[in-house]
Amino acid sequence: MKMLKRKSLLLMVVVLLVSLVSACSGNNNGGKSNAGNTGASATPTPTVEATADTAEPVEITWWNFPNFTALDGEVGKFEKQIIAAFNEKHPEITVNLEMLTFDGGPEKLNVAIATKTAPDVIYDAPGRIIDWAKKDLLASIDDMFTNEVKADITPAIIEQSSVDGMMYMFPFNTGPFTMAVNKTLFEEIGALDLLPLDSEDRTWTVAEFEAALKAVKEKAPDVIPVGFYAKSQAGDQGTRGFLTNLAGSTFLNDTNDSIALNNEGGVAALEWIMKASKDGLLAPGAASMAASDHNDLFLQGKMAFAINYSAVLKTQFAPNKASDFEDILLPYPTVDGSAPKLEPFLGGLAIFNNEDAAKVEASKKFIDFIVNDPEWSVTALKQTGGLSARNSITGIYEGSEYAYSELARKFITTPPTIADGYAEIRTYWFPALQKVLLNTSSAADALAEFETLGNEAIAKGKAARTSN
Amino acid sequence: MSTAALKSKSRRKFKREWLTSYLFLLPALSFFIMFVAYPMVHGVYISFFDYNLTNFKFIGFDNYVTLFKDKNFHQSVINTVVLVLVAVPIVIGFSVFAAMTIYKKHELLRSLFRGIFYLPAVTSVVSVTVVWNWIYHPNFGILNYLTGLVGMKPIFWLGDPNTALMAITAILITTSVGQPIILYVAALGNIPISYIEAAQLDRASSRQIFTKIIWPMLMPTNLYVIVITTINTFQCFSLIQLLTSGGPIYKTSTVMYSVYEQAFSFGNFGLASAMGVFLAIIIGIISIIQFKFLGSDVEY
Amino acid sequence: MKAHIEAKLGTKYNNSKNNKVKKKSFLKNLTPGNVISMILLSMLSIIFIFPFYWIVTGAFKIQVVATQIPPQWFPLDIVWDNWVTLFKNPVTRWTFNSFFIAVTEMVLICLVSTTAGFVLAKKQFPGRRIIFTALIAAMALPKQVILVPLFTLLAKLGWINTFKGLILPAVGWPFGVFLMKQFSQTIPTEILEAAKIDGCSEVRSFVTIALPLLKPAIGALAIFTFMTSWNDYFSQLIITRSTDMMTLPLGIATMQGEYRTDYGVMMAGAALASLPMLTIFILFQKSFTQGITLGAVK
Repeated sequence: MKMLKRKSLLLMVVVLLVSLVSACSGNNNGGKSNAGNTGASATPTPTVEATADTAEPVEITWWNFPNFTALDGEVGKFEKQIIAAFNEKHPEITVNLEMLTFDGGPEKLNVAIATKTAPDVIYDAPGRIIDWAKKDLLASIDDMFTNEVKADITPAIIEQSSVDGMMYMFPFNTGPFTMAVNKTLFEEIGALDLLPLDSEDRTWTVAEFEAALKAVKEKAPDVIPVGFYAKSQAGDQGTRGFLTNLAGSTFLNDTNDSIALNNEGGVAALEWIMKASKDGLLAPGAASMAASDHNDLFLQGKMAFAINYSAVLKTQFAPNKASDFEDILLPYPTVDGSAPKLEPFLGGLAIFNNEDAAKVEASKKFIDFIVNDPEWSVTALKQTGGLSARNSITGIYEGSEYAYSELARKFITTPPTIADGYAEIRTYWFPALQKVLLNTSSAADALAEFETLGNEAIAKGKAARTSN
Repeated sequence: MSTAALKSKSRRKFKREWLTSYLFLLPALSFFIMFVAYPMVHGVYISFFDYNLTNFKFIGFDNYVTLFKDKNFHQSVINTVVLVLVAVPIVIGFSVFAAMTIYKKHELLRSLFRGIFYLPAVTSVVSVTVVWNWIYHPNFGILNYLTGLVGMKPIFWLGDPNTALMAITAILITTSVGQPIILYVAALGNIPISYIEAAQLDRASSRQIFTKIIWPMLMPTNLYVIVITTINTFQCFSLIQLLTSGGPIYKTSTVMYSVYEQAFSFGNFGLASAMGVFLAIIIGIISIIQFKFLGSDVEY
Repeated sequence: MKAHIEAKLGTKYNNSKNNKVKKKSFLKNLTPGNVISMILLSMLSIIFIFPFYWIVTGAFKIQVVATQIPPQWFPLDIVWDNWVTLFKNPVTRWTFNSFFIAVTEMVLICLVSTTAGFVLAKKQFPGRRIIFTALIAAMALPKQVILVPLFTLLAKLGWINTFKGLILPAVGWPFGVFLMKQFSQTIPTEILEAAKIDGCSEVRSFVTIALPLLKPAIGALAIFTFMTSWNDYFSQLIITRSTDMMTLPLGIATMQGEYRTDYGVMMAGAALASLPMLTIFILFQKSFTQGITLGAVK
């Protein structure tokens, strides 16, 4: 009897405890939250602006996409080394690292921003960063740029890092996106002369390109001549670069306020794609292929040309090649063989404005360390495999393809990523390509529809900006 | 103790009994209110706002108006309905067939088959999609290799608007028959064997036995399986996110995927919540219809 | 007393009695139709086994072999490279996280559901119907619908990327309460009444009479909860942030790059994530089956 009483008491206590935990938890504001909470952070931070030389302890959060090649195959290892090196100079700043992934990462950022738990430092590409800057979510880092530094960066890159002349991203690693060819395959089929490798800048015409594709189809029937993909947004700079050069047009007009691709050239380019698909020159099933599938085919030697490549990717892919073939960078072909327009990939760092001056200051110090530290900036750049966004820093890498990559920088144009509403424009591009590839609509109709939707997105983006 | 004394005692105890009941409920209820009920109400609330990365503005029913105008959302609703109409009957048919086949077999054999059909359901959805992505792959997929052996042309299962939704449905079916089969085997085991033996003595054909005796006895299980499978199919999301991202040309986008895409890819939380509310209402209506329609001849 | 309860509970769900098929009917079972359906079923079961087989074998193939046509049905040279690559990631930490989250959820859900399910099934009190209807209604709703408001709430509490944020919301999900209510209904009211007349307190009759009877149910619920949590992907994706808080499914998903997918490593990860579940399922198939069956019976 007594036993039972005790047992029942015990149970009551447990039940009560559990309910207390659940009922009262609303009153505590979480012990240690990693997110840059506004106002609710556990440590009281001074609201007065911290001067540069106070050693007041600050905690910042850094979110990073896999921009650096994983050191020893371990995700986040290199980032931790950078933080350790930074802490030797600034022991007062604690940097919490969070690694993002390409799938799920963008979603995570959206949710974090909407719930006011954004990180302090983000290392990403201008596509998203500039979109945030326009929405007034970032802290300006204009004071980090001297005139000397600005002069050392190509205007196209400055444009991608700023909004209304105000810098929001510190550009770090870059390089042109190009095509790639399996040179070894062309040697085997004795068609090396069809590739534009004798000129230094390797420019070529669509006709020459077609001849090379036909040679592959004829002499290596098991190999897909050229890849294409339209499953999702990932890697869309490849399809964009390929088609705009084929069309002899730009994606957007000069002032980035309307879609420019819907012209004769654009329709002709899409029709070329349709025809190539029918003639078996283009990868079958392209509509459902993702950029990664397309690269896989190339790396396995099952495809002669890849349309989304760069010196960086070449380095990253090296261990994944099925056989030891030589992959060579080539510019996209143009109708008349004139200079191609290449989009750069660009990575850079930005700071979310979490309304805490001390955190913004600390974040600036951290970014400055990564991009300007004499020793670590070079190490970090090498880890990305990219070229420096600064014109004066060259010759970091060995090899012919890096040399070509440096040379091809002269073809770089401003990409459409800086347009208002760009994030939304992207979401209409791959469905338009799918329609063409699947023959569910004509090239002209698909482009016209894309133009309408794209222009609406730009208008919406502009309206959102002015209302802010 | 006299009965009168007992009665008065029980009346006094009555209130105390309530108190104990509430105490027993309290923990579960507090969790439920905090993490399910409150967010649900809050979700309805934000569906009336233009809520995105930078705005939080009351706009009344505008999100709902946007929904009804959005062609891609229409497509998603159609896809969801197709998915339910195709998957649910197949799941029921297959489960009944499998259960009928194995329920009289040796215990070991029964366990083995139950296990096999439950396998895809216990495997993490991430793992399942990785494999199926590979099976369906246009260039090095096993399926195209096999169909190629018998002389068929390669099909881009997940990339062709005509086959993509069916390809997804096939995977969904493999992951949803495990539980129904277990239920049907149990239900069949509960049918008194004397009924069937009596019918056999009356020279009833096995088809008659099935339609006249077995099927009516399975009715309560049918109801449960249909409701559960319908709800699960409505919530089909991870497969689509990991395999097709709703493509090609929105042919595999479902309502659930639209909710995710709007909220997390585009940051339109208000619109996404409106879609969620819409979905919840639809699921509610369907569940009620199923109970009314199928539950009428089920005795509880 | 005990026999009395068993008599009440036993017959309803005991297949064994009915399934003692006589020899005569066993021979009758070997009709052509029966043989055909058995063969058909065995062929269909290949579709169910194959993905699993492919995960396990794929984990031991290098990328080139894994994606070759014609496929290598059986890995000719077994390589461990994928596992080496996999374990360069904090896989042990991810596995621990998956386990810790699943076990904690399991314990908490079993605790709160058993008491709540019991009183919902066996006690009369004002508001009972409303509470139960609310719980059932919530069960039909997709979790993703409440994810945005739930996330906002967790952010306010500062629970993002914490175990609290990963575990506690799942405890609110009413499935457990529903299951335990279904089970509790099988407890004969007479026994509880008798205990009351004997002067047992509510709590005491719950502990001494109901709990022992509910043991198998709690076991089934525990397995269910563990499995759901282990295989969760979506809510964990949104609530975790740092690598060290990731669970196994999330960790596997991170191995998908933007420009290429390493199938072999993903397969190794998938195998690692699936094996514990499979083992649990094989070991506890009985409780499992019982849980699934009882949840469905009104």
